[in-house]
Amino acid sequence: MGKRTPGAGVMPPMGDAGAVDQDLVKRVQRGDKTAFDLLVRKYQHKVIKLVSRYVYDPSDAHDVAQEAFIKAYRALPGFRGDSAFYTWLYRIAINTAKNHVAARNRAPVSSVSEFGNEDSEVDFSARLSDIDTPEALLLTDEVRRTILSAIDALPQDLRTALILREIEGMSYEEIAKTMECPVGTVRSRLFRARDTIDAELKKIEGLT
Amino acid sequence: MNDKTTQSGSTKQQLGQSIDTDTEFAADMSAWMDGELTGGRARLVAQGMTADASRRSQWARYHLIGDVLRDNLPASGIVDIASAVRAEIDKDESTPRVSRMPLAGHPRAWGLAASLILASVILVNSWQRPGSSTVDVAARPDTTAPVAVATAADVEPDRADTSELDQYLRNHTLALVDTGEPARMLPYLSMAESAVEPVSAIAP
Repeated sequence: MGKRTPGAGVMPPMGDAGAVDQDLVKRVQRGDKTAFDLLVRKYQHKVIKLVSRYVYDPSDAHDVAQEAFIKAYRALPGFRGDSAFYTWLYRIAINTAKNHVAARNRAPVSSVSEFGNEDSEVDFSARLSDIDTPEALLLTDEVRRTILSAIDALPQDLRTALILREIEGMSYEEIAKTMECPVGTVRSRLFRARDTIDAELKKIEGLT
Repeated sequence: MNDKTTQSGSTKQQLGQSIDTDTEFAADMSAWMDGELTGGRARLVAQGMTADASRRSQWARYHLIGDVLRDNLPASGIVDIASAVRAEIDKDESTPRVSRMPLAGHPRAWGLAASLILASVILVNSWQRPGSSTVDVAARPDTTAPVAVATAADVEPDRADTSELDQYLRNHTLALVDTGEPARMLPYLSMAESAVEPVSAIAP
């Protein structure tokens, strides 16, 4: 039941969530593609954020993150679980991002031509509209506001359980000790907290 | 993450046998994502997620809550790349995976491998020249043929082998030329031709 180490970017968010990853990895290795979908949905924001440290253009960052996940999927048959899945994915994402930056630096002509000739300009604007960053930012703001205000509106015990779990990375047992309640109660409080926030999230248009 | 995909009746029925309601399933999923659910129920949750897209969306929203609290959202905003990744994976698997073969897509490697095989065939042939085959045949207890006849008979198939080999090499070289590959087998072809000369010389 490991706690998060502050600043340790390689660490997965939760200690025991690694067991879930391991389970999902095994499923992927047995040919279950939807299990990989769950891993992508779990880590996509974290990976995009990580890649964005190297690749500043948002559309490129999304492409690189996507490429990293595809590389991970292709390499998964050889993944033996010597390290945590996220640690492994983290390395793939970093390498993919670094390779992208190196390839971009090796091709200065293409980056000039991006702005220099008409065809490339069309291509560039098409990419911008594909990503639609302003809309994504608006959506993100709305999601963030919705989640934070829903947490504010939660009863104290649900809010505390959620914060201890999501921010402090405590196990159910640790939360139970801290809040002086049975583990079953922690489980139920966490679910009720998530379910209440989820009900608000479902109302947001465009959240796919 | 509003999911429009509806759950199939059979899946619901199957899951309903062990996890009674959607609420109970969601409660189990919440514990599972925290690594606090194990055994049979964890397996049921995993199966339920695989079978139901709306539950996968719920999983994504539950993780989104954690991402917001831990400030894990990228500055560029929320983007769902899961479907793009899935599409790419599906596309990947619909095309033949020849690249998984060790030498696929490497004509030079194939050429080198073929040359090595060829060289060893020539080498083995040159070792099995009349002297050794005479000994082999003579050494066989059930052989009734005279030694001299055995030697001549042994040479004939040898000559046939080399002509087949020549033909193979020519075809291979022509095929390489046809496909635009440089005719890398030509030096080996001439080497093989010179190697067969002594065989013809011994033949009566």
